Amino acid sequence: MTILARALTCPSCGSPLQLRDGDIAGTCESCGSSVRIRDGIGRLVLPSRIDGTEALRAVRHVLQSRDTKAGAASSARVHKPALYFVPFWHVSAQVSGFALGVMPLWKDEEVPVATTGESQETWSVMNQTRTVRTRSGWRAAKKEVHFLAGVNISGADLEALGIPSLSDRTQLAVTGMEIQRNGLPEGVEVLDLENLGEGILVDPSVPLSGALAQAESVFDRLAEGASRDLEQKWSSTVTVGRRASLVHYPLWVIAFESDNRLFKAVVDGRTGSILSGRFPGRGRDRHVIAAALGFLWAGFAPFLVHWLTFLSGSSRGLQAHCPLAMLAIVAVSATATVKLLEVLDGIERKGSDHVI
Amino acid sequence: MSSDGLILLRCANCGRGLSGLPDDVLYLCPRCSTVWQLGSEGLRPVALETASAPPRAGTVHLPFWLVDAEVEILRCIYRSPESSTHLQGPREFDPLLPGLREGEPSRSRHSLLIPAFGVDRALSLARRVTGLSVAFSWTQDCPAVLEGGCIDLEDALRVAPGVVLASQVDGPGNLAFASISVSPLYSRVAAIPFIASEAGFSVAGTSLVLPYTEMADARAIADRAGRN
Repeated sequence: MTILARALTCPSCGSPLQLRDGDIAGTCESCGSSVRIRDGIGRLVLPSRIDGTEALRAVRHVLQSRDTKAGAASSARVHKPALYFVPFWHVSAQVSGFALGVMPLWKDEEVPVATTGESQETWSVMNQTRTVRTRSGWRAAKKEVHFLAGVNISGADLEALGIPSLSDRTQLAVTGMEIQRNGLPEGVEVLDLENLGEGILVDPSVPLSGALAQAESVFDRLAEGASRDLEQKWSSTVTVGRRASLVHYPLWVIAFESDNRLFKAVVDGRTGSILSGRFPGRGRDRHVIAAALGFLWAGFAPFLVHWLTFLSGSSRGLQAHCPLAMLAIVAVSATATVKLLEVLDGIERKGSDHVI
Repeated sequence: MSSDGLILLRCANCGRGLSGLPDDVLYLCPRCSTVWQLGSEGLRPVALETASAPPRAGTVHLPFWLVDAEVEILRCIYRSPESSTHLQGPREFDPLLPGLREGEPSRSRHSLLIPAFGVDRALSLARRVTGLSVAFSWTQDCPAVLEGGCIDLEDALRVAPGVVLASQVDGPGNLAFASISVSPLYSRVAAIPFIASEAGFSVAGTSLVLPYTEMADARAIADRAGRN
């Protein structure tokens, strides 16, 4: 795409063109001619507002929280934070059209409410009324469908980082990120690799054609939604003036080791908040509790069985080693063991990592 | 002129450099009054007509596509204004529904004015400006600035049936369905004079006001026009 722009020369005077990597147009500094890159796609970037140290601080803050393992903050071996600029396609367009149909008309009526009398056995009509809405007809209606809309589509699959994708199917809010399903956040700049500083620019895996098709689907849905209250609907809408640009969004990925396990956290480069991550939970402590309880039961069970056998043998109505009594003891022991295992399993499950 | 994937924005008639907003596809050469449309293949000349207006401070020319076209209304169906039926009809339109009236097909020649700039209510604006156009007198004068033209002719022609539909919708009867065909005969860019006011761009002597909030590049257009 526009990466080639740096090697381009002015078609008018032949001087090298000083274009930024994201520019699709510019002016020759030598002769003043304006140029446009043929079928160029603008590349924009949201610079990171935080540096690696601040990203680490955000992770350390979580490591020191009550949900993570005690002492994890001091024992964790943190790798160097890596800054990635992940791609989003921004597609804007003008949608216009008409939807024709009918709007239902409703009639509100006050109707007396039948309630039970004091005797609870007879029904009587009291003075209370209830508003009942009934359909009384329809009137012809028309709606102009119009909007200048922008939609953002994930240019790469971020699910692996625990970040939901923005697509035509999932247009949910992305918690903690400045970029959302529509519009561009403040502070967008034209991509200039020379001035960008550190960071790895992630190329989109979703092609432009795919992003445009997804955006079209979102626009269609928006247009459809604008007239959803019409019945017997016929609509005609057209989407024009499509513009697409690639926006790179900063994410810090921080890996760290704790208890010989590798953990990863993603910090938003704009807001500084943890978007996703796995941290050592208090589960290790719970593993110890579960193991201790298991050992206790294993040691205590033979004594319990012996005691129950003794009790059954000393009872007047029962003979020692009575098969029924033995069966009952085995059943009680087995049930208790199963219950304890369930409890231990619950403790183990709760003891997994702290996930954001 | 183009080379190496670059398109030189220069008027091929007189050699003057062309300028515009980042998303513009229409460029006016103020020296020779030629409008150029930017496409994948480069710049292509388009004829220009300007609606005359008495000189007035704050005048801004906005670009429209003026399309002379053969408009054919192939089928139109009308419904009664209201009904007292308690029954709920189908969600989507069905031409076999009772109470519908078929209109007469028609064919006529129209001159449609379609906004070439990004605007929210494009069809309403097009219908109103098209309605006003009979009062315009067209000249070959060149406006000082004509910027914000980001809708190319191909897109404008896709909007054209909607403009005809807008006039049908606002006409007598309650339109329920229409099938419209627009065959363009001659297209050119029209510069329509608007007055920049506090509320928006307005057409002098009419109640038509185009709020700035409904335009994609209102601020940039007003700024550029103010500088000239």
